[in-house]
Amino acid sequence: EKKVLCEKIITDINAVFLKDQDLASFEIIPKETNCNKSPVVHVEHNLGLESWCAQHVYDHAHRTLISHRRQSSAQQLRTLQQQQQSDSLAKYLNVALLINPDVTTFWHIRRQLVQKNRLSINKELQFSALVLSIKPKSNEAFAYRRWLYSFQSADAIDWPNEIGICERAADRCASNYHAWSHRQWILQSGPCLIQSELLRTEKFMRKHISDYSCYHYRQVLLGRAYELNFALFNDSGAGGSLPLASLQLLMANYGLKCEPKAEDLLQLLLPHVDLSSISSQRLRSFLYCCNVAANDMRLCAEQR
Amino acid sequence: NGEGGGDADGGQKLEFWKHVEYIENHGKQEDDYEYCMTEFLRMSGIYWGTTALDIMGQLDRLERKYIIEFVKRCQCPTTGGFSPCEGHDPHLLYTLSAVQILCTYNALEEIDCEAVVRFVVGLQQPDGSFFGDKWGEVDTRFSFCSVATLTLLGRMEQTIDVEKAVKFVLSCCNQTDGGFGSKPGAESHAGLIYCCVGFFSLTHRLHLVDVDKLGWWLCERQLPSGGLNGRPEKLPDVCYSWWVLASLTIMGRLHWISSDKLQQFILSCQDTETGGFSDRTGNMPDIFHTLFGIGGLSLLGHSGLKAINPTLCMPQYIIDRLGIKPQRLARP
Amino acid sequence: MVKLFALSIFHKGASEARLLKTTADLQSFSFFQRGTVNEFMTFASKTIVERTQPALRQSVKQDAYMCHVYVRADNLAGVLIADHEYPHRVAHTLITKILDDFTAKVTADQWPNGTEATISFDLLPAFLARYQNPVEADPLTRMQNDLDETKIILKNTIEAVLERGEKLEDMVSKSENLSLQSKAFYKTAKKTN
Ligand SMILES: CC(C)=CCC/C(C)=C/CC/C(C)=C/CC/C(C)=C/COP(=O)(O)OP(=O)(O)O
Repeated sequence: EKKVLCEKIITDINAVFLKDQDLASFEIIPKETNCNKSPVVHVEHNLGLESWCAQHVYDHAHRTLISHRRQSSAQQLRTLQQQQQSDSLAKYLNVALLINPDVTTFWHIRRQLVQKNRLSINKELQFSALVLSIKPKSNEAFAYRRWLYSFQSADAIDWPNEIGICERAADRCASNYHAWSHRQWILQSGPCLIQSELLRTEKFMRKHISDYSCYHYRQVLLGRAYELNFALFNDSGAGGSLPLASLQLLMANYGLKCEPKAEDLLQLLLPHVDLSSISSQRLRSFLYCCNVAANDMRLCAEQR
Repeated sequence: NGEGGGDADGGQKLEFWKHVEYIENHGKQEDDYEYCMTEFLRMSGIYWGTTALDIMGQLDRLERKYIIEFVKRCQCPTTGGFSPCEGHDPHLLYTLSAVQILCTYNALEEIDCEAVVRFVVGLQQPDGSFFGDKWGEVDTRFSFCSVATLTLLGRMEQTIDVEKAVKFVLSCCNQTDGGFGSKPGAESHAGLIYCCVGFFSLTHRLHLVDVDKLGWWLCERQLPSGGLNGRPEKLPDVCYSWWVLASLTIMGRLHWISSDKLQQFILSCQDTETGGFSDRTGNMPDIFHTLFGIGGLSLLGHSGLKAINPTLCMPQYIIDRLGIKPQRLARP
Repeated sequence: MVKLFALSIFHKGASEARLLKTTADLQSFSFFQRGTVNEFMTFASKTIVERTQPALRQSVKQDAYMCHVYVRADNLAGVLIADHEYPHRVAHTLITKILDDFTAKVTADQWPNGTEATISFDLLPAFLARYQNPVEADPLTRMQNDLDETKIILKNTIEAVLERGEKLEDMVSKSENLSLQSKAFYKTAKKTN
C-alpha cells in the first residue's frame, strides 16, 4: 500500500518534469502530516515535495534503483525489454537525486544512460542545475556538468549561463568551494572572460565582503590577466591612461611617497628591474593588476 | 580503561562509555532513514566506527566476522576496487576505507590484494594525478587515497609513478599561503592540506612543503572559541580538529595551537545524552565527527585513548604491526 | 546573500503596533519558504516594536538575522532586518532617514488608523534596493554624525526583548497574523535545528 502511494507520488513528480521544461527550483516543504492532497506542489516553475512523504519516496526509489543495479550486474542487459526497464529508471533517479544528491552511484547510472543516448545532454544540464537549486554545494552536480560538457565543442557551450549557475550557488552558500572551483574550470575551458569576470566578481565581493573564496578567485583571475597582458583603461584619459588611484592610496598608507605618474610607480615597485627590457604592455598590465589588488584590499579593510 | 578523567581542567569531561555505546549501536539501526540516506558511504562509516572504537580500546564490541564479510562482498570482481555498499560503484575513497578496516582486523589475506593494486594503478593519469573512479574526476584527495592504499598493502614501490604523482600534488600548492587545494589553482582547504601533507608523509617528501608558511596558516585556523575552521571566515567544526591537527603533527608543529582551548571545544561538541560528537556545540552527533573528535583528542594526548597515527588516521599499534613508517618532522 | 531583508514602518499605539508600510527582498530564500519568512519577519518586527520604549533604539539578534528597531518619541517606528554583517550604525541611520522621509509625506493624523492600503508612501522598495550595499550608505552615515552608537541597546535573542512571563512559542501559536502553515514551519524548523 505504501509502495502504491510512493509510485503515485513519483509518477506525479515525473509528470511535472514532462510538463515543465523550465523548472527552476526544487525544495522539500516542511509539512508533517498527510492532508490527503497530493504532496507534489508545482507553482511558477518551482517544484516542492511535502516533507512527510520524502523519506518513504526516497526509500522506495533507492530500493528500486539498487535492486535494478544488482540484477543488471548479474546478467548483462541486452534484450529490448531490459532496455525499456532502464528507460523507466529515469523517474526514480530524478526523485532520488533531488532528495539525496550525494549518491555518486546514481549519478553514474545517469552517465551510463547518457552514453547509451537514453538521456539528452541538454535535459541533463537542466536536471543538474535543478539539483544545485536545492544543494548549491553539490560537487557531484558540478562534476557531472563538466563531464557532460566533455561531449560538446567549446563554442557550443553557453558559458555565460554556466557562470550564472556558479554565481547563484555562491550567492546562496558563503565560500562555496565547489562553485568557485567550477568557475575556475570555466575560466580555463571557456573563451576569454577576464574583463567581464573582473567586473562581476567585484560586484559580488561588495555584496559578500567575507567570502574568502571570491578573493581567491580574483587572485587567480588577476594572475591570468597578467599572463595575457590584460589591462583596462580609463575611458576619460586620452591615449588610454590607467586608473591607479587605489595603488597610490595603498602606498600612501604605508608612508611611501609616490608620484602620480606610472613610470615613477614602477620605479618604486620594481627598483631592481631594468624596465626598458620589458614591453610597455606588460608593465601596464602589471600596474593594472596591482591596482585592482590594492582596490580589493581597501574594500575589504573598509568593511570591517 | 580510563573514563577520560577531565584533562581540560574546569571543562567538560569525555563521556567515554556513552561514545562507545553510540558507535556500537550505530550499525544496528538498519531500518533507520538516516541509515538509508548514508548507505552511499557505508564503507567509510564502518572505518570511522571501528577506528574510533579501537582508539578507545573497545574494538571487540563489533562483530569482526560480519564486518569482514561485508567488506569482501564490496570488492568489485571486474575492477578490484571497493564500493561503499553492495549495489554501488567502486571508488578510491571506499577502497582506502576497506583496506584500512582489513588492516585493523589483520585480515588483508581475505581479499585479492593484487586486484586492488591494479585498480589504483589504473586510475593514475599521465600528469601524475588520479581519477577517483573511471568517470574521470581529479582531486588531491584521490592522490592521498592511492598512496595510502598502496602503502597499507606494502605495494607503493614499482606500481604507480611516484615522481609524477608528487609533481601533480605540488602543482596544487598555493604560493600565497603554502596550502593546497583540490586541483591546480584551487583555494587552500584544511581537509585537502591534510591529504597533501599526508601524501608527502607517505612518499617521504615532506621537505617539499613550506612548513613554516603552511604551519602559520594552519594555526590561524584556531578561533576564539578554541575550535578550528577549515578556511578563513568559516565556522569551527570538530572534523577540522583532525585535518588541521594531524597536518600540524606530521609537520612537527602541534605546539603552535592552544591545546587546552581546543580540547574544551571538542568536548563541548559531545552529545552528553546519546553519546557521539557533532560538528559544533549543540548540533546532532554523527559517526564521522565522532571519529575526528576522538582522533583529535588522541593527538592532543587525552588520557584513556590509544595513540593515533596522524598520517593514516589509524591506531599507531596497527601501523607498527604493518611495519610502516610514514615520515614525520621533528619539533624544531 | 542579500544583506538587507526587510524594511517596515509601524505606529506604536497604546495596546499594539500598527503596520503602516513594509517591503522585503526574499530572493535568497527558497521559493516555497518566502511566504512564511515574510510572515515571520513582520511578526518579529511588530513584536519588538511593541516592546521597545519610545525614543529608544534596539538591535536584536535572532539566528542569522539582526532586527534593528527605532521607536521615535512620537511613536512612529522603523524596523530594518539585515544579516549580521550589515553595520549597525548604517542600519540605524537609515531608519532615521526613512522615518524622516515618511513624516514629510504622510501627516501624523493618518498614523493611528492607517493601514498598508490607505498610506501612500512608495519609497521603501527603492531604499531597500539602494542600501543593500552598505558602501552606498556611507555618505549618509557621514552626514548624520549625531547618532551615538552606544545608545543602541543590543539584545541577543527575541526572547530577551519579551516581558517577564512571555514565551515566544506561546506568542507564535497565539498570533493571528501567522498562517497555520507558518506555525507548522516554525515547529519543524525548531525541531531540526
Ligand atoms: C583516512 C582519512 C581520515 C581520510 C581519507 C582522505 C580524505 C577523503 C579526506 C577528505 C578531506 C576533506 C575534508 C576534504 C574537503 C573537501 C572540500 C573541498 C570540501 C569543501 O566543501 P564544503 O561543503 O564547502 O565544506 P566546508 O564548508 O567545510 O569548507
